Amino acid sequence: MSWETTTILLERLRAFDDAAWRDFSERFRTPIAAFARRNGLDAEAAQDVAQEALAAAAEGVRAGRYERGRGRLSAWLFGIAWNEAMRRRRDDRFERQSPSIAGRTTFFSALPSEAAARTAWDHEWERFVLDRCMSVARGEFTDRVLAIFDAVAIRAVDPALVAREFGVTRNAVFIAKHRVLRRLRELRESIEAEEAA
Amino acid sequence: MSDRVPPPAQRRALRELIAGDPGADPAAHVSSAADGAGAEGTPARSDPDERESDACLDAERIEDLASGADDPPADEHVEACSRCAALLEEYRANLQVLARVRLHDGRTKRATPHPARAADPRGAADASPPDASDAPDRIDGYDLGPEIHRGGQGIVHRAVQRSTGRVVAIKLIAVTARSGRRERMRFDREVELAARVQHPGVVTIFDRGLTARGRRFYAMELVDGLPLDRHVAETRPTTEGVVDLMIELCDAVHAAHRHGVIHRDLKPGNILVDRGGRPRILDFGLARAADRGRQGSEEQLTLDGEFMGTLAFAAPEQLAGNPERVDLRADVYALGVILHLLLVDEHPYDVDGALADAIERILHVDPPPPSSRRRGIDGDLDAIVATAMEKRPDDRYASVALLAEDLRLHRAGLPIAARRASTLHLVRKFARRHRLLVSAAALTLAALVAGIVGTSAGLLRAQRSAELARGALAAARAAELASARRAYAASIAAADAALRADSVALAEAALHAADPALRGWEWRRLAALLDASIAVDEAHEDWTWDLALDGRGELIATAGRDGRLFLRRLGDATTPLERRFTLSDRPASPADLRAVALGSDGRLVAVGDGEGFVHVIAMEDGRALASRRVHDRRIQSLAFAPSGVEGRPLLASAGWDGAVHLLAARTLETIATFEHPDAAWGVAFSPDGARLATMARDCILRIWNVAEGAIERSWALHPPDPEWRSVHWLRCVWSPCGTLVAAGQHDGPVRVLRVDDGSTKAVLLGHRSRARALAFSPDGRSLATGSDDATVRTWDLDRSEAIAVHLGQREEIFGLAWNPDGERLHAAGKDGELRTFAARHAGLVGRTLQLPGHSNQSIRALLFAEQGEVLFSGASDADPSLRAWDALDGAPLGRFEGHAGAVTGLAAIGPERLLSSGRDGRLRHLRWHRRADPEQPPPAPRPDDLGGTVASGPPPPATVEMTIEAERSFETPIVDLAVARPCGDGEGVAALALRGRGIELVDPRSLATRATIELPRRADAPARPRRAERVAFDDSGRVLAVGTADGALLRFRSAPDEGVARWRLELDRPCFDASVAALAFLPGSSALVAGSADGTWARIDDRGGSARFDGHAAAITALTLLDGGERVVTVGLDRTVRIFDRGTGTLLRAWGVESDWLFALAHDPHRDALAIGGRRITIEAGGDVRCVSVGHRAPRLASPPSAPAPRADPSSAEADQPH
Repeated sequence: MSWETTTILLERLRAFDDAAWRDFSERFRTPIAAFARRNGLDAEAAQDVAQEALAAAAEGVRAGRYERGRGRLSAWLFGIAWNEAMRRRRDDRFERQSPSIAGRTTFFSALPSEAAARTAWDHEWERFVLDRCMSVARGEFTDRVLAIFDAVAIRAVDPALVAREFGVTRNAVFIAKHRVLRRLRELRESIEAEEAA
Repeated sequence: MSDRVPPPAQRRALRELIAGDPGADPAAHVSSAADGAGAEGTPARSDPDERESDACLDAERIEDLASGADDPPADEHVEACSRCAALLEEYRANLQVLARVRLHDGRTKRATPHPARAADPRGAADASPPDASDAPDRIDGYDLGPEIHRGGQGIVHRAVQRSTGRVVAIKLIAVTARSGRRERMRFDREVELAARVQHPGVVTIFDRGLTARGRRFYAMELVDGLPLDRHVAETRPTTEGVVDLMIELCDAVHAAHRHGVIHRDLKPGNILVDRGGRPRILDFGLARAADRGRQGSEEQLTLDGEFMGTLAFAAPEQLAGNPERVDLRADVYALGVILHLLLVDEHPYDVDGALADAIERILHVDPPPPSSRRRGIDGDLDAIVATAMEKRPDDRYASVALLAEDLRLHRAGLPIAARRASTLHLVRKFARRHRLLVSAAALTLAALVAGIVGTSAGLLRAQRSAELARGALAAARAAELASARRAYAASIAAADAALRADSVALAEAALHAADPALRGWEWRRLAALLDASIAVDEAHEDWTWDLALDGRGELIATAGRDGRLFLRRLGDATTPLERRFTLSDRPASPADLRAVALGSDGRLVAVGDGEGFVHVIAMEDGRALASRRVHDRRIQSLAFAPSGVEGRPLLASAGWDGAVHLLAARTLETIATFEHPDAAWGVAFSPDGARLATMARDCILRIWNVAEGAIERSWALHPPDPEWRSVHWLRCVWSPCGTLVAAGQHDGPVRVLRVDDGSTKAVLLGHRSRARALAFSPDGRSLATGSDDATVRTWDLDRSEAIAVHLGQREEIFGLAWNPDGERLHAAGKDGELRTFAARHAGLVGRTLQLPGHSNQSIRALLFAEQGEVLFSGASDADPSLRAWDALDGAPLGRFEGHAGAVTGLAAIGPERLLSSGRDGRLRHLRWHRRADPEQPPPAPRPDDLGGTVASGPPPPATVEMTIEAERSFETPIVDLAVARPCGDGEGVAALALRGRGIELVDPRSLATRATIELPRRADAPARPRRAERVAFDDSGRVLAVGTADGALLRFRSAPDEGVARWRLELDRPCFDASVAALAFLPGSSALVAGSADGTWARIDDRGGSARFDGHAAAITALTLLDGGERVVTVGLDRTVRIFDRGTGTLLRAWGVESDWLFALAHDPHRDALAIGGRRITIEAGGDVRCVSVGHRAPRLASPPSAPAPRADPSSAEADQPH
């Protein structure tokens, strides 16, 4: 399994390729919506923000407002997503004006600063990149290798148990774990290199 | 899993895993031959020290080093070994990636210590011994607040997540002298299992990790509420309220079970009731995975004989201390105890005394029925508690869902399933336990009273028997109904799946099996999809072997196995049947007619039969011009030459004798013969008549030069199948431009070939079986294929993709013809019926229309008007225009100035009048008029940018005109709009949900304010105004429902004599965990259905009782009712449309209409159609609405005449027969 590079995807978007918008929105919707949720919006509003941000980003790409040389895509998307999220919160100001009640969840009373938002965005972006890496890696290894990796690396199951469960040596368990990790690392580095290009 | 000898597939995987390529994989150099031996089945070695003798370190030791383990020999080796040094660096980098992956993975168990590091104080943080103090700790990303709870396994703090300001609860693992690996594993399992369950009734886990001191923690939703028992004590709900609470609790527990989690410690202290009145389960510290495969290390967490749970709520089998015996029925038992406790405020047993006595009571004493402790409790509830608390798990409800079902039946006043079982079971159990006593008592009693009460006893027995019988009957009926609903849902699912696989026959069988009494819109919808044709007519009593259309598209001819030739005139309903011929000299056993052809000028029709005869008939008078046996065996194909020779029309015939004859059409004189080595199946003339394409059983497609009788080109399409003898055959067709020929292959594909250079233009893959019927579109850009898989497909030849799949034929398709207008396809085959399809639509025109929507913006409001013929739509902020559509064919009728923000509501207020509201705060009374324009051409279908087709091309000039009659602006966004029904003559009222300002009631025409309704404050949050999100009127217009942002439903009622000035609040009920997103009243009732952004939906009856059901995986955004309110349709952000049975909440069908969020729904009762708004608008019709088709002018084939068509009797047929 492979993935289309962001560069190619953006080129397609510029060229008004029919499927490019769908691919573009599918790829970047999740981190933007999750980021909007982290900024205090409910699920529906977060989806709205994601949609508006994606539409603005697509329009920006087509209008040449995004230039790779001037910054990373994630930073550019952050700016759009942050603005959309803040715009949404301003639109919904009536909801946000409810006073904080001592002892209760005051979810909306603390507006995150942009620095905090950037941290949240970086977190979501990293999750997004790792998810992409993981989905690519899942297509490159057998189910068995992935199952061993899942058990020993993700779920932190005792390697001895994993070895016994899968009928292999402990050493094989560690080798499987690091093969997948190495691939994840390579994929992550390639995405970051692509981002920085 | 314990297989020591892996199966072959596993061995392959293991080879990849273990053997590898040492040269390619640096890691492989640490996997020696010993690993390979392990892979081949020897028991895995567990001692890493066995590697000491190897030259290099094994992977585990390298990872230990990378993790910071102290291993001087290994360090020494690494210094000397460059490969191990490189691996060490790589592993260090890998572990950094792993740390990030774990940070983002909700399943991650951070803590299981590596055995090698567990004893190593310098190992990873996970393995570090827990801090022995409870001193304040620090957690990255959180500000830890005060402790709010302390339990055996952990301490819960209030905390604030810095990044979002969200207040959460953080549970830290308890630090005690007993803290050890088992406790840490148990804590990890708690997190894992709790995170597995996603349900509004279960607290959400947000995060997990280690504190600065290395203690485990997890962050969860902070529930603002009271423990269940305190909530009940403070609110003192009615018995019905307790039952409603228990139903919600059961739903949450059932959700946990569905996710494979058994709680094992359900008790009021572990259940918080939030301020909305919803029970929330927390503390999964003793939970267990239901499935053994995922349970993993249960044996490590539980010592033999160790009791898990809380004694007062523990099931008898839990007291045995064998966790393997405890299954989800232990939770059923605990729920029974909780129900008893809530009903009577007393525990069923005295568990405060000596432990041995308490255990004895739990194991052997039946709990007293709740009604014995408190008056007014129904016997049904006694039965439910007794069944839930049965000593033997097998005697309890088999699942929490069944317990909930009985509670719902009880709430609905229906017979419960437990009643009969309970009564009989109590008697049986008593007798079993006190056999001697019962026997003696029975004998004594019998002796004393037998002679006295004989008659009375008989009467009592009869009454008792009758009562039991009635109970049993009612229980059986309820069970039968539940079973029937499940079976019905299964039938719908099967039909849906079959249709997705284009299998009409299977779908039809599944729909036929669905209980007629339960059929609703979803059934009608699927039934309609079985046949996507726009016209259907019976063609022959038996198989229709061939079909031909004249060049003008006026006449269609079919030849059948019944020996008859039918000629019909298309597009003229008054003369559906042109002529009917029986062309055989053996009327009693007519030869089947295998092929038919129509002359391009429409004057001649030729038909070939199964015995090699060709018959030619003059169309103008039906006279048979010639009849001759031109082949020794049956004829498979006929074709007229486009132009004759010297005015004489030519005909080609292909026969199973291997010959293709060129014949003078009027005399059937043979002009030339083209011999084939095997049976000739198909023949077609090139458009200029100079060449012939033939298809033969040797599977070679040949191009012949007619004048020279020579083969110009040939293709061996596929190897001939030796099994093919008399059953199968294939044909070939020539494109209108003369550059392409097409033929099917016996294995399914259809090949389109360029005649000039012999290259392949396209290989069409999609049919599951051979495509025998082929037809090029008049413009030559598309090919239609009819297959033995009973589907007709239309292909775009440039892209080699199917444009549309047409369902309708039940069996193999033998004949296909394209109308000259390129819009319609005619197909016939083994089922004897002639169907017409809209050629380029996605197979479902008339049942599904795709409207392009609003510039790719989310549709937010939809409204059917003018008896469903016009559809109005409004979209989100980026395109807030109003648009009108022809709901019958999808044509855009007009685009009007809308709002400055998203359109939030559309409502009809009378003929050609509607209200629109927007997020810009504007409310408009609009008057519209549809201008008749019969000459307006229907829009041409075109592919859209979402991979489907849309029914319209460039929008024609608007044919709906709209004027603003009144307009009013509010300072705040209008978030929803509802209109009371009786408003056609100016009466009535419109309700507006104004953000931050409650409800305003306005005159729907003048828009003047008539009343305002301020929403009542919540008792627990008096300072916070409530926000209305949705409004709806009942049919009478006297009841107004309001859904709020805090998930509550409010119901107001106005007295008939008070107009709309005064509205009394009659219901204020918290229902959801998130805002109410959709509302609808049941027809003729003040009961209503609501959907929420938390993904659930609920029904609320007249008296305020409610039941809540799982709906979507994401927020519900819109909802409507079908079938008189029996069906609830919802759409949501999970991009699906779902239909539920309102009574039981059963999901009957779920489907997606496009790959984007769906926000709007509207139902048109006139055509049983549902409009769904996403980026596009999809209209799906429920019933058989063949009338809405490809456009205003689309001619329709008439239905078969009401009286059976006159069969040609032998005497009248004689006149038609050739001589």
